[in-house]
Amino acid sequence: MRRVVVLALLFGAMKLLEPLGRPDGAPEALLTFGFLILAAYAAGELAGSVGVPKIVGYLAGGVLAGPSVLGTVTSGAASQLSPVSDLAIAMIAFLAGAELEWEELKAKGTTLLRLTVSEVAVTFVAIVALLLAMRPFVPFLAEVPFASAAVFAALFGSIAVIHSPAVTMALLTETGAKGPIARTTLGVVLISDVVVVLFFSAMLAVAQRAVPAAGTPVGGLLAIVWEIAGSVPIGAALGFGIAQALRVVKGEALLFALLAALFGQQVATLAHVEVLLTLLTAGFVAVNTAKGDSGLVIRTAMERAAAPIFVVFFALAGTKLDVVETAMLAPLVAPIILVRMGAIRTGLGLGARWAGVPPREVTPVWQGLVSQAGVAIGLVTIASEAYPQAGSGMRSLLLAMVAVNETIGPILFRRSLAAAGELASTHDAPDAEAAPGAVDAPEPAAG
Amino acid sequence: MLLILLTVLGYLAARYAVDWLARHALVVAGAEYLVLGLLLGPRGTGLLDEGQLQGLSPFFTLALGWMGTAVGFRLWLPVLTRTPGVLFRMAMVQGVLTLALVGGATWLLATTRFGLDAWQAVLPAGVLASVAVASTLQGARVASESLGRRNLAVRQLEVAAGLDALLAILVLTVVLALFHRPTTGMLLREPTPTEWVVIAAGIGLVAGWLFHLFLGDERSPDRLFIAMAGAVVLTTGAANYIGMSALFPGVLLGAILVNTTRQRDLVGDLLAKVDRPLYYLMLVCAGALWRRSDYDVFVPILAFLALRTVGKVGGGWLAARANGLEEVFGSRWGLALVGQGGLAIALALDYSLSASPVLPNMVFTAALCSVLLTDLFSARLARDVVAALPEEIRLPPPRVVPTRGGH
Repeated sequence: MRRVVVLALLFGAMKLLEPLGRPDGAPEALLTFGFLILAAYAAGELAGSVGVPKIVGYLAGGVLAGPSVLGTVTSGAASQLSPVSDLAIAMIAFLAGAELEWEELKAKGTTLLRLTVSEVAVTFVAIVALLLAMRPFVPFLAEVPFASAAVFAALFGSIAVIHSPAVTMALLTETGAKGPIARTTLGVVLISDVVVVLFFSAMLAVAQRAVPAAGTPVGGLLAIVWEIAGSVPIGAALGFGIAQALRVVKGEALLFALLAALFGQQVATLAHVEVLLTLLTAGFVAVNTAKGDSGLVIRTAMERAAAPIFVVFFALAGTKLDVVETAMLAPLVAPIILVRMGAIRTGLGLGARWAGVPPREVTPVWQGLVSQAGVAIGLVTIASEAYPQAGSGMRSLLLAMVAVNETIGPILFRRSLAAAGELASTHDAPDAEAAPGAVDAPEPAAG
Repeated sequence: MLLILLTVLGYLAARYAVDWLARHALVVAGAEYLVLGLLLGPRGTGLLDEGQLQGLSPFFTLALGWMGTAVGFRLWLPVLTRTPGVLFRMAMVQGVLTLALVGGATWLLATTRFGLDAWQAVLPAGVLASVAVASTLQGARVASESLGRRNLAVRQLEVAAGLDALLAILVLTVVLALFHRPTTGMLLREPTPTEWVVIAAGIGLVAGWLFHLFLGDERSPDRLFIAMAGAVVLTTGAANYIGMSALFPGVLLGAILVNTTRQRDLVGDLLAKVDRPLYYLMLVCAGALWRRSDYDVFVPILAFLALRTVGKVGGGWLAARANGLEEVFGSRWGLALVGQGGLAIALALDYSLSASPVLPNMVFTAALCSVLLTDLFSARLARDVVAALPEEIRLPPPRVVPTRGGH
């Protein structure tokens, strides 16, 4: 409560400063960014005190300070701060990749792949079927012939199946969970990131053959394929380079990681490949090929710095959520979200059978797969470049869906980790020491 | 791809060279980050363009504010009140002399060589003077290693470095207030320079007080860092928004925190721990933001370096002589203050980011050259000074001034 009062006083003080700004548009973004961090931090602590994941609080803080509620962070200021957000996501992707261990992947790779493929396929079919069933009520499907509607529904479905590596990493860091449910969720989320983006590219190619596109995604379809396929070799080369550089660079591991993420982000942008996937691969290769314990050192340094990065990332993400639009689309979004949850659960059960793992060991993972964030928004932007009219409707619906999933996803994930007894023993211990993979070698996920 | 390769190779080569120098010549590392910034920035490979640098401004604003807060955090009243007054007098004389010498010479150069009018020349002269005053704690650290933490020479160097930092930041604040540009026009009248300084101080004081309340009993280092980062960005962002120095409110924030918070040691550790990475980050940003000056700056920079050294050493000698402590601290103790450190870059960066800087590239280049050059031998100089000092230093008893009616 004290913090809320202090924030209110700070808000008042900021308002008092408004007339003292310069006419050349002084960097208001910096002023509001500080307030955003404090608001998100306070909201996170408040959320934590009532058993809700802190990242939900960070998001709520962002929503509160953002253009749709208080308007402290204007949309102009939010877009000025997008390089900060981009750097945060690069760091998160690098850290997520660094958490994967080669030995673990070798041992569980096939199981994780089968779980992922099954879960993605079932969710995709369920969402497409639901959209077609609700066709008269879905704006971008209602006024087009059935064949086109089917194509657009499939395109939307191929995006709606995606998960959020950022939310998964944030929650694992916050809770310090490192048991089988935590590791399996992380594995499925990271693998599905690759699978879904490839799947979306294929889907877009099919869609463009079936329904000639009004626009073309920048660079054409080949560019999209390159964006995904090129990420892996470029990320691997980057990771290998970072591993070699770690031989020379001693000390200041966190700063080195920050610079590596910034550098990787620039390389990915220059090479027109997907930043998240590139950094994810780079993190994986860097940590697994580094000599001695230098890989572990850089990973630990990043884990220690993760909490502030998550605050910044989710607070900025919160400023982009439009509460009013989400509320208006609620009648459409609610059934899609419910069906998606059910399908993820069913898909995982089927995947467990396919992989020869007892389903009860895997099904709790579904709660960790509900979250969605930035990648989905990136893909729907590509879709709306190809189909400007239908794409705009898809984008609105997907943004509303992301807003809800980004909020309830972490709550569900935390619930499943708690039910599995994988939360760190103390309430707030995980901030640094108990981050995932920091201490123990991971346990086998299933069977 | 060639650009990327060039950047990587350039950074690694600089890193290797600096590591070698650090091992063999007791050099403070940091130059490689500046090289990296130069390579990444628009004047190098262009991997970071102007827009991206603008977008990354929260990071270097955080670094600036953090530096200011770290300076303010040295102002812990119980220690300050126990420090003998003569140490402050010595430090003040040395600082003011350096300020006057460099400020005066730069003003002369700016009016004669660069054709600025007398009033306009005050701006770069004042900023360069403030950069010149700033000195690092390197000398105190070296002295502490060989003489022990409680030696009076160590305390003298700490006081001098602290007072130098405070003086430098105050001068920059006053100069920026003097040349403040008009506001949005929503006020009945434009604030005067004094009012601008008071407003900047108000930001720091209010932020410090509110942040003290905000922190409460928080003890987790991670959460302290988040809250500190938010407070520093907010405070420096507010100063930046009104066109004032981002460092000054940071100093007041730090001063309030150190004197009020119950987690003084934790916050102090945090400030110290993040100080170095943020310094390096600031060097990267400084390298990326660096621009060639339109004027030939070789002679002015050389003059700046020479005058600054004269100011520090001569000022130190005069201060010791004037206070009757020449035999206690030696005549060359000012040499231990020649090292510049991150504050000099922060001051120059703060100035370059202000609304309408005059000769910003010259000021920035001078600060960079000075930091890099003094990094090369500041530790050695400090070691030489310290080697000549006794292991135990005692101040002479204060002179008793006889009163008229006394015995």
